[in-house]
Amino acid sequence: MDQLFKPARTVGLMLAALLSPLAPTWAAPSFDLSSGEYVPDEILVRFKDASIRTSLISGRSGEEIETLEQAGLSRIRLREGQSVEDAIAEYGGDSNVEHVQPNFIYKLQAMPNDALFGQMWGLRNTGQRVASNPPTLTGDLISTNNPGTAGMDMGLERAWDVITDCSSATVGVVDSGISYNHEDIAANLWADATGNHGRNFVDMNNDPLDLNGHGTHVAGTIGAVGNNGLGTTGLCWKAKIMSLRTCNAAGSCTTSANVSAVDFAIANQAKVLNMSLGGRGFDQAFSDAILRASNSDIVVVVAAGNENTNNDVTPSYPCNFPHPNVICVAALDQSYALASFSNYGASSVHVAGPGVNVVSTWAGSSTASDDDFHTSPWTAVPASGGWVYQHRTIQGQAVDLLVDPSTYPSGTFHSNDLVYKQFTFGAAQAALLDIAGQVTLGAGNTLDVNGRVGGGNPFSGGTRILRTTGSTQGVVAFPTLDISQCAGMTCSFGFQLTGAPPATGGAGIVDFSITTLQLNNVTYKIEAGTSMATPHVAGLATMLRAYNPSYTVADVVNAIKGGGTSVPALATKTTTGKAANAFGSLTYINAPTGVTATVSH
Amino acid sequence: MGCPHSNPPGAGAQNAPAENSPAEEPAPRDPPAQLATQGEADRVPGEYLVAVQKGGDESMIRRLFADASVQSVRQLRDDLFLIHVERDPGPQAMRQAAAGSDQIRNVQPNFVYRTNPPPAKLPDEIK
Repeated sequence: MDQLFKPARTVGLMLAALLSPLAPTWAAPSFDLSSGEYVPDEILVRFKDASIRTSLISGRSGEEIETLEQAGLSRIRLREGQSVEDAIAEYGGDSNVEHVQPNFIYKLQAMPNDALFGQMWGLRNTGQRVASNPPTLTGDLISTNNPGTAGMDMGLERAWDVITDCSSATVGVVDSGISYNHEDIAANLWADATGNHGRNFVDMNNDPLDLNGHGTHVAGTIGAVGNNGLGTTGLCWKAKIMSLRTCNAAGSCTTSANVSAVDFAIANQAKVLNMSLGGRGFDQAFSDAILRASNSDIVVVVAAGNENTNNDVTPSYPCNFPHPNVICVAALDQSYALASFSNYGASSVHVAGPGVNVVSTWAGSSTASDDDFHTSPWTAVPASGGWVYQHRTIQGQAVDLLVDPSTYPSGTFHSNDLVYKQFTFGAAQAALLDIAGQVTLGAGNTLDVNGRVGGGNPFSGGTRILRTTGSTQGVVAFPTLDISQCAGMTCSFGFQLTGAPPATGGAGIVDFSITTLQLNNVTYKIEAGTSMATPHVAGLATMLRAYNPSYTVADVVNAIKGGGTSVPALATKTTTGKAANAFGSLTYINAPTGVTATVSH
Repeated sequence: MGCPHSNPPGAGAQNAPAENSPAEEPAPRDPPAQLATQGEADRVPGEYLVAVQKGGDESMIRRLFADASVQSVRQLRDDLFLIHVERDPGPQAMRQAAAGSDQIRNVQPNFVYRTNPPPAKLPDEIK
């Protein structure tokens, strides 16, 4: 491993020219000792006549620690109470001394040479502006606090002087899979005896390839290969990452898959698990699995969620599982403000980590298409009196939307009103559909979303892919739909309202986005979310486990919580009020246990 | 990756199961999720996790939930099974069906979790 070796400061050496053994005619050398980066009770001296050095040293009540033969230097420990400055003046004034200097301290400053490291503010914040660079680095940036505040980071500069190789501690990523051939991850993957890099609990096979991108991004933050001149670096430059694919291409992950993944990790001696996922509703089976992980010496790092809600009031799981091995993570922006979307919880969320404009590895080239409902018109049936395109200003925001009826949210709609449009998909391995809207429906009324491969009216021979009943509380985003069967094809999608008259209410669709993913091994992406903050802490947990193999789960959890950096924005938002800090945690001293003391008078 | 996906509170929705039509598209790869009604969490329609006491097995599970018509049983652990029922009565009814059995430790939906990206800028409400 290459490391930049940089002196703490520049030293200018002054050689003495002796004119008389009795009266030194050269000035004692001077050094700037204000930096303090030298051994406080030692100096280095070159004597003109090495045979008399012992008496010269002992005559000053010093002690020769060692002789650097090649350099002709004596390393001398000063007498008690003597400063380096005094000693330099004392020895420097002796005509028998050719040279004297402090014993300076040189620091390793391990900085990786990865091409995109300069954008990774969470690891080293210089106040840099994070920017995309298509096609290799894409993503939607959040402009707030970009650039941010220098120094607001996880302290990896100093931490990497301690450890960069975490490969002795296996870390499992419970997510959408990992792009295991990615140029910047492939070398850091766990493998079983047959070369499988984990397990696919969605399709129940041994191929945990990522068809979404999310899992690859998470894995890269933990352990993208560091200092290889390519892409990004993980907190761990070297790592052993296990891919546990429990989430499908649309980012949906079931209890059954999650439970099986945890048991697989236990069976294969993982030490850390990252779970950048969340759901509502207490889940006994998942809770039991995480407790088993705790009993199997596994730290589980989880995301707080992205709904800007208080998890103390509205629980999110696994964040709110009260198990001792769970660390729940909120998201910070580049100035260490709590990210606007981040969940929080004074009792349930523990620490925060960098979660905005995070650069990491991605599974391929993503193309997103956001339909505005009018540039290429949708077909309404009937052509009038039902679904219409409108442009409204809502809360000061210009919004393009499809609505039925035109007066929505007031008025009535006609049953079976439908609207659809045909799309042509390029070649891709995955395709996703995101819809957002507001629905107001009485009992028995429905809004259906249909799709049809080949185009045409999706309500004539197509397939229903989503049905909504009841009413939403304002505009909501519906779950992402996997429409990968449309990749490379022509597909039509549409909306249909049904209801018995008088069908009061209706619907408004404000967002219709299609994203396709063309897999490759060379893409990087900028993402935001507590999903991104979580692997920063999981990477730290892995560093701790590799550095301290004897640490228990409790030791690691305590070191992360106790070794963090106090952040004002987190004071009432997390249990610790702290941002995770790598160097702080690596140097955190856990309180000893089992120690008793008695005081005798 | 595209736009937000978060659980829309208060909305009930379900993804219809795919209907295989040889002339049309193949079935979706993954079972679609059902959104909650009355504030329930997302769950996979018709799927339940059944935790059993020692000795509990597939035949016992099929008998217990016969009214729901158990279509498949997959053993995840010694004490945990994933079942799919054809006539899904809902989580409460399933719990009631299991209440009389001392061989069932717990029955719950197969919940759905999400890798939620932060929401895009959308209006709070259509007015």
